[in-house]
Amino acid sequence: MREVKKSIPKKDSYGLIRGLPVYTDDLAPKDSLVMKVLRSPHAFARIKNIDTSEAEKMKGVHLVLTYKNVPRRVITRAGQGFPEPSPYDKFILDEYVRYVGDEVAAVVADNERIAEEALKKIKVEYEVLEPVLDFEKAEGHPSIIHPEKESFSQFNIGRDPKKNIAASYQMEIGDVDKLIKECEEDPDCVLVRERFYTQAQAHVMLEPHASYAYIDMAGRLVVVSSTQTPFHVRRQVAMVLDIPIKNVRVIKPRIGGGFGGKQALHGELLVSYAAWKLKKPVKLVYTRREVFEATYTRHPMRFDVTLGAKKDGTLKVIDFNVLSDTGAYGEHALTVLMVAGSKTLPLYNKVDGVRFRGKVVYTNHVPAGAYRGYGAIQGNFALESAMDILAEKLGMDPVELRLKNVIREGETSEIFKIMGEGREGVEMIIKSCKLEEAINRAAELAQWKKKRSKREKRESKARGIGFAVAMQGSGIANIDMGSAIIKLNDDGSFNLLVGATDLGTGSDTILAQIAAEAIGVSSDDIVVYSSDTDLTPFDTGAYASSTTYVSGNAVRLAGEKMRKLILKEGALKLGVSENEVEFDGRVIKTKEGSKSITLKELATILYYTENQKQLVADGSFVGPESPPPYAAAFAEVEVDTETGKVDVLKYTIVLDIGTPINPNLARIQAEGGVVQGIGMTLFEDVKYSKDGKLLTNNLMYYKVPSRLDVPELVVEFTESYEPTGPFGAKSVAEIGIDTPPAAIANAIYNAVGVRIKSLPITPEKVFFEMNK
Amino acid sequence: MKINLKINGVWKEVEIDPSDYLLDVLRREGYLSVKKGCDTGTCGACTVLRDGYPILSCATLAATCDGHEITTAEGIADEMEDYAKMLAGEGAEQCGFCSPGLMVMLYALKKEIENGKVKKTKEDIRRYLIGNLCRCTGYAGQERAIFRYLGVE
Amino acid sequence: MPLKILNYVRPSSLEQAYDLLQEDGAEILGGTTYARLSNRTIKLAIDLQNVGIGSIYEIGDYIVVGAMATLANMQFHDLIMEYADGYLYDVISYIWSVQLRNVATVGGTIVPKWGFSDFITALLALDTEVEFYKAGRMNLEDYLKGMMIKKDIMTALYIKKTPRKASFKFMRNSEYDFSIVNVAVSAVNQEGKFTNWRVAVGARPGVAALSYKAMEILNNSVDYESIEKAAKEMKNELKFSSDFRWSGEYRKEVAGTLLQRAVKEVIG
Ligand SMILES: Cc1cc2nc3c(=O)[nH]c(=O)nc-3n(C[C@H](O)[C@H](O)[C@H](O)COP(=O)(O)OP(=O)(O)OC[C@H]3O[C@@H](n4cnc5c(N)ncnc54)[C@H](O)[C@@H]3O)c2cc1C
Ligand code: FES
Ligand code: FES
Repeated sequence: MREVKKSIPKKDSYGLIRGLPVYTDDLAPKDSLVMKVLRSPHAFARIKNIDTSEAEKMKGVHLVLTYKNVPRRVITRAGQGFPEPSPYDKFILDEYVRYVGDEVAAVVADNERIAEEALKKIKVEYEVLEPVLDFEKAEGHPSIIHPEKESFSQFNIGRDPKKNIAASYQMEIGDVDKLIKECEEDPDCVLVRERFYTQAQAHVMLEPHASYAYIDMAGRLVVVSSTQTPFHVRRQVAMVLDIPIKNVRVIKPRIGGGFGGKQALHGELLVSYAAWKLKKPVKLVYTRREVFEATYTRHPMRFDVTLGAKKDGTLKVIDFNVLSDTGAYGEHALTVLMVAGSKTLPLYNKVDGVRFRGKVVYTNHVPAGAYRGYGAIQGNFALESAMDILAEKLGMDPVELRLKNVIREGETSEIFKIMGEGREGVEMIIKSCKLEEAINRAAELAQWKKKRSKREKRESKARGIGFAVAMQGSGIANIDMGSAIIKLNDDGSFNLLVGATDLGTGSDTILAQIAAEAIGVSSDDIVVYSSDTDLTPFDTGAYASSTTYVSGNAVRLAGEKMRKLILKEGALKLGVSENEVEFDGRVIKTKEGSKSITLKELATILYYTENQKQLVADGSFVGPESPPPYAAAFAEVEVDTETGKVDVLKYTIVLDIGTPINPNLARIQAEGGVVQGIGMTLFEDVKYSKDGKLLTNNLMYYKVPSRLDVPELVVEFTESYEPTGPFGAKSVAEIGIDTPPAAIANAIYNAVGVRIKSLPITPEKVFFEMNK
Repeated sequence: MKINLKINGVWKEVEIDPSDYLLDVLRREGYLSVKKGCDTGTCGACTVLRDGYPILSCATLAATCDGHEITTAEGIADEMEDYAKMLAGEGAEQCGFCSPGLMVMLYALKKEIENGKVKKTKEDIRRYLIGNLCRCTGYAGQERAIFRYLGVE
Repeated sequence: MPLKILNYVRPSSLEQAYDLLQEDGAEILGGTTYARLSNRTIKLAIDLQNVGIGSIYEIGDYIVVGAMATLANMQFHDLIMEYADGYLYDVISYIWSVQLRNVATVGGTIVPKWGFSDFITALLALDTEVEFYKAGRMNLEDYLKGMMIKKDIMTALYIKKTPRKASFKFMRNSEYDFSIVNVAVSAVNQEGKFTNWRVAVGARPGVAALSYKAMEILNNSVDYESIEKAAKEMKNELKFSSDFRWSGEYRKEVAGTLLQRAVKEVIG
């Protein structure tokens, strides 16, 4: 391998670091009209009356949209493959508003100031309804959040809107009740029953959501958006405008982070509709406050976990009962719920019985959606905290307990087949898994044995160390599809065209490396262009840790085809048969070495003189399975016993991601993931007012980790080779985020004997728990 | 109202509204390296230099800058080429949205270190940069590049 | 909706500025950093950068800091770096970010009496006075306790160079945040004996106040027991309350701990 497993700089680094204008708002035409959205001040209300006449009369106002003058078409904004496993329960604009921040009206004006003035002139009379603000009381609440008759789901997702249930799911392997009962009665068995809560973490990608739309010379609609899913945006915009897909083009320029928050549509529908109506460019850039109040959060969840194990540490049974809060709309409701089980429970694949049950309820909170970790981080906090509790009850080293029970190469879990994302999964024998090695290596790096046995206590500071393991997936098996086109240029370089979406992760770069490796040339000779529905082939988008594995495989296939084409045309030119030539990345020559031609010469000839043709190759890939990456992590903390303040001193994580295509970029993905996980664990508190308004709606109050909150990070990869992946690769995007909540909670317990079961673990919680 | 700004070395007369903050004015004038990440003085993506000192352009009224000198990432990018290469070498510009602001900050930091106002230690450097949030990298990669650039062990 | 400013002026003398300020809807601009976060309309915004109240100098026993000096100007001034072992230098270095401190002014930080302020708590533990153009000079404590002084201009902060040793402690979860609660303590070091204690507690979340009970106890004796007692009495004396981020109960308990730590740091 020459081009993969190599840390080359990102292809876009020059422009990004210098601050070239490459993001959506930088690119919007200077004469774009500006859209601003009027948002609901109520958590739940019906618009009794809306008078826009004053606003419409204003000079510089071009259009005012309300539910009265936009088509009433029910949609889901989830940004998933079709048919989506999310309920169609949202309208572009509706008579009902279901959370503080929900769209009431939109104004298009010459500039921001006029648009804002116009918003003030819209008179709305609301019938304020009793909101549902406690997700544990949502089911069967007298207020029904989705009374509309149009909403539906594409297939059965266990939805029951009359009871405020957006989705539900259950599965059972073995007779779990019976196993738990047996365990209860068996003196040789230990049972753990615990309840855990996770919060509505915000993505806080640094670039707020932005999009603009205009009409091109052919009268088609062009949408430029900071989206993770250009092809889904195209499909949904076409559907809402009721125009053919061919009349819509979606372009994703550079985007300032996504983390799942830009998987869904937020604003694209409104700007598209306005631009289509006005035949003028219209842009909508969210304020940071809107990003907080009116896009997405992580699904907050409650877990009831039961674990049963033999005294020797053999895990016998796992039961998960989950309640999830999807907020006002049901995007990703079912799938995030399922992932809380499907990407945690197979870690312990040798149990006799495992059950997963869950309901996702509607509330009048900011809607929840996709967010890096996608259920797995929530489930991991519950499972790995419970495992730590179990280890203590067993009097066993938590590392030993994991080593005894974790999944290994060549094994499987029935869960893979039963639980997919929104539907059945696929059978899978684990072909690459170095979790055991990762655990051992991480334990060594973190000095687990030493630090665990002698805990330091100085004055008011107590130190502790905690441990957790995790798994993820690599794309959604049998659903996520990526494709690629590679064409040869007349100087012997290549254009790689991919639908895959680079969110800043560097996927353009690693896809170029994969293409280069497959063709057998240098990555420098690959020019990447991505995420433009007119020019690049289809891709479901950047989510579910799919890009390296799914899109990467598509690129590999295209690259291999291109290599064959080069050999074929080279042989033809040299006048020998294909199997007599070889290609070293620069020169095509006969194996005995008598004849040769450089690729550049061949390309020039092919385009200008002889046997003229364009060499172009394509590749498409759907994952037949979703091989999990794994992680083993140790958190070392210091707790101030007088204030409850937790400092993470060192975070050690060893990951099995298959082959790291670009080790530097993989490392940054892991580090970035860990720090986001630390943020969720310790800092990122979400507060609502009692009438349902989000109070932590800016970066002053919603605290993401600053650089001084970040511990020493020790990141290593235990390399495995995933035979189904491109050059052995699996995914790395999400796995990093999963372990911190449990590892840190376990470390705090180790330090001060206090078990915090709800996130975030604030100093206030630790303090009062210590002083109970 | 009209104000005069010396932006990246060139005096410019700019038409503004008295309510305008410097960030919006600079973006309107085409200095698009200046990013609006939070608009509440926290993320540092809007960092520019005023009379050589880093400030938050989202939290500084444009009118108060009349007659002052403003430097944006566009104005220092060539000088910061070495740093850019080191950051790219770490792969630590992920989405890149925080990168121009951080580069401006680093430019200022280097001068402060030379003037003896900031000590050349990891701790002091990190504290100097606390106002530059990054959500993608977890900071570690950035700092590997920054410490190398500043020659800090 | 953002802040709206209808007119902007940059007068060249205090007198002129003061006269303009008397107009209806006129307001003073400091560094404009916090003004940004409100959504009011200012009819006439008065920028003081040219009225000559930005410098830092010494008069007699006092360090005088002009109201238009930025927090960074103040932090790096020799007089400040030297006084009380650079106590204020340290305090300022923990306020938000470099970029903010390069713009935020001393006046803009003191005049609004924000409860969350670290700066005010730190100053209250010293012998400090504030000066207004018309209202004249007053103790910082009196200013904080009194009514808001409207339609006047703060011109300077006076810090008396009493030979104090001081310590400032804050509790934050993220390092880059407002303080959940903060405590500043100082005492005059007279040949190894600490007298004339000042104990200020801020971000309760109300604006900083002195704990007279704690000060009285410490003025009597500074041993392990009295330090604990001072903390206890301070907790009873001052009011702590909840906001949406932290509870009053938590603030109170942590303030007690910080007070003890600060006192111990002062006595070394
Ligand atoms: C995001 C953010 C985070 C912060 N975090 C902290 C923190 O952690 N700790 C902390 O202590 N502080 C913090 N601050 C406060 C900061 O230190 C400043 O106090 C604040 O930003 C105001 O400074 P300014 O000069 O920009 O005032 P401005 O915003 O210009 O003015 C504030 C008010 O003071 C009035 N004013 C200003 N100068 C005068 C004068 N000379 N005479 C009369 N009235 C005047 C103005 O009319 C206005 O009403 C924070 C501020 C921001 C924006
Ligand atoms: S945009 Fe100015 S600090 Fe975030
Ligand atoms: S690289 Fe994305 S925020 Fe820093």
